Amino acid sequence: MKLLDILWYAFKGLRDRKTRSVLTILGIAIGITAVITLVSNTSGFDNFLTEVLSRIGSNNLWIIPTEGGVKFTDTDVVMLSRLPGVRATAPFYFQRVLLKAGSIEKYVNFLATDPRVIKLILPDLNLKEGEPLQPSDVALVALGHKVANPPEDPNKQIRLYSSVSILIQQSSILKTRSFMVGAIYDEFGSTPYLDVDNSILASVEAARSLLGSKHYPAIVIVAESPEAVEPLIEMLRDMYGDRIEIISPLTIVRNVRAIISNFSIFMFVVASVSLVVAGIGIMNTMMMSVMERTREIGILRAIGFSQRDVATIFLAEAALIGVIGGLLGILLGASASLTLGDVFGRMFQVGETSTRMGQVIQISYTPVISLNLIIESFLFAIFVGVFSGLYPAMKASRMDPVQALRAE
Amino acid sequence: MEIPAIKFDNVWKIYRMGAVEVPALKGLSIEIRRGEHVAVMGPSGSGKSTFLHLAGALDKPTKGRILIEGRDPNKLSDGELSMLRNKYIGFVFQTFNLIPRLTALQNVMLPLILRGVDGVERVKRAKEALERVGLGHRINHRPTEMSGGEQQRVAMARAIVTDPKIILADEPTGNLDSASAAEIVNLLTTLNRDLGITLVVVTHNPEAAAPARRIVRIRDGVVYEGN
Ligand SMILES: Nc1ncnc2c1ncn2[C@@H]1O[C@H](COP(=O)(O)OP(=O)(O)OP(=O)(O)O)[C@@H](O)[C@H]1O
Ligand SMILES: [Mg+2]
Repeated sequence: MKLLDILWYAFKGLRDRKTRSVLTILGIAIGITAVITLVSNTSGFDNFLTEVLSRIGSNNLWIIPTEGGVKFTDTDVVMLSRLPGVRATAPFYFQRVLLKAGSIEKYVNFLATDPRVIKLILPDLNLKEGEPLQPSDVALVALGHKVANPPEDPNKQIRLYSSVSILIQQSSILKTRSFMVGAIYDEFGSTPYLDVDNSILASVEAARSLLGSKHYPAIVIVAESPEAVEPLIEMLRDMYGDRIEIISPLTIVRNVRAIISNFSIFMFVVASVSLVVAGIGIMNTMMMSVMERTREIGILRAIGFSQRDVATIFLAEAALIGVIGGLLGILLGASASLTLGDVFGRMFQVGETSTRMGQVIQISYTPVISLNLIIESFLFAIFVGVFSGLYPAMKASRMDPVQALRAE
Repeated sequence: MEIPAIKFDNVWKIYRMGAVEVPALKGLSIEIRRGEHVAVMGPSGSGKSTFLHLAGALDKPTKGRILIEGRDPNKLSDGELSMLRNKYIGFVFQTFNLIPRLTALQNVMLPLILRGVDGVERVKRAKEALERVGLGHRINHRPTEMSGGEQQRVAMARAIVTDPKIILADEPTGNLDSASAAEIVNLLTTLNRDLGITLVVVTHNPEAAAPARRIVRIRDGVVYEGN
């Protein structure tokens, strides 16, 4: 029998019992949908996390005093810089401020640290205009790309060397200071932690003169390697105990990854169960079909079908359920993935990540539906079909043709 | 010496129902020559259908030797037996035994599809077979849309589409009114006469047996008349 004829006959068989076939096909389609949604979303999310780490630098960590905790001074900065595995340390300011420049007035992030450390924290951040900030630049600031070029209004650009005012609210007093724009950065792209494009960058000196405090709101520590981060965190805990909060992209990403991997194990179980159920459904449908078609089996044998031919026909039917269910599952899975990508993104955003730095990790990732994933789940659907069809096909082929012909 | 179409030599067929043994054939011997037209008659339960199934290589004997066109089913694998059926045998049954979801043409093509005959060729041959049984105009009807007589003619077209050497018919007129029955008997007789196909018809109906040149009577699993 030719392959096309086998498929033709199998298709006729399926169409003959439409409702049952459709339900069985749906069973497998749902299983495949689950698999595709799961795999594409976890791999998309994982890519996102890797991206986060590479942008924000897995070597960096920030420490912030807890309420009524320590007060950071230069002593802390120097002491921390001598810890093993530390490449650099610097005071770190992070605050929302009101920016005024001519008629422009808007809230932006004010980000201040040792300019030499900026290159270490954000290696991909490049200057577009002006000169790099110097540690001694008290009256200069550098603008993020979107601060200088507001995407919503091209007329509200802020030029290099123009003057800007920064206003801060300090216990019912409104403080204002003027700075000159000494540099404008290239677009950095969205990062979950430091939204550089919407920030004003300044030196520690500038921040001090603006805010007037002797203590640093945070310290940034750049480790020598990602491997050095965990031991460092332990040392920091030994030194400061609960009086500081430690923010480390590496550990956060690790935690999120752990959550995701737990979640995907759960999803994997759900997907496997649904495929097992689908397989049982196929087996059941095929068994019923073999019983109902006993007479037909007898006829086929009389015409000259061998045991193998009969087995092939029933296997083909089961495989066809897998093929159609697989294709349907791929379509459903692809659309479900894209929708769920959004939903999951929002779900985890609420869950994990409001940090003291006032920032929220914006989770936005694209599920990855690779060709491999499509091919593998398609083959898997066929495998489930064929595997579930093996026993019924064997039953059909072993039937005694004479008995089958006598059957009602 | 000419090879007989069918030869049974002291053939036993014993069915086993649990511990009970039911002998359906008890040492049946018969020789049917090529091109013969034989009617097989006998009371219900005498073993006629069993004989026909064995003669058509659908089953193997418990004891004794069978030769179908010179081939011994006992020495053949399932695949070889199936090929033998497809090539040499055409079955016609009392209940027509068409596949309900297929059209007349598709039913008739099925033995050719199994053989891997390609599309154009098998349609052509199936149409010829349907025309030979006088159904050239109803090829796209399903069995449920046809009368009993028409269904039986489709079954006959399916039996002859492979140019078989032997046609085995088990009560082919049993489910038909007398007019349709007469047509079917005529058709079978013509196939035997014009194409030289060996024809064995199991029947209770004396009119169906009448055109046969030899009547074999089976009783209690053996031939008691007509050898
Ligand atoms: N699978 C089986 N198991 C047990 N006994 C069987 C089986 N098949 C047939 N028999 C018995 O074998 C005997 C011969 O049966 P067979 O069908 O050949 O008779 P028959 O001559 O064709 O009868 P009828 O004219 O009613 O069709 C009967 O007694 C029947 O009950
Ligand atoms: Mg019978």
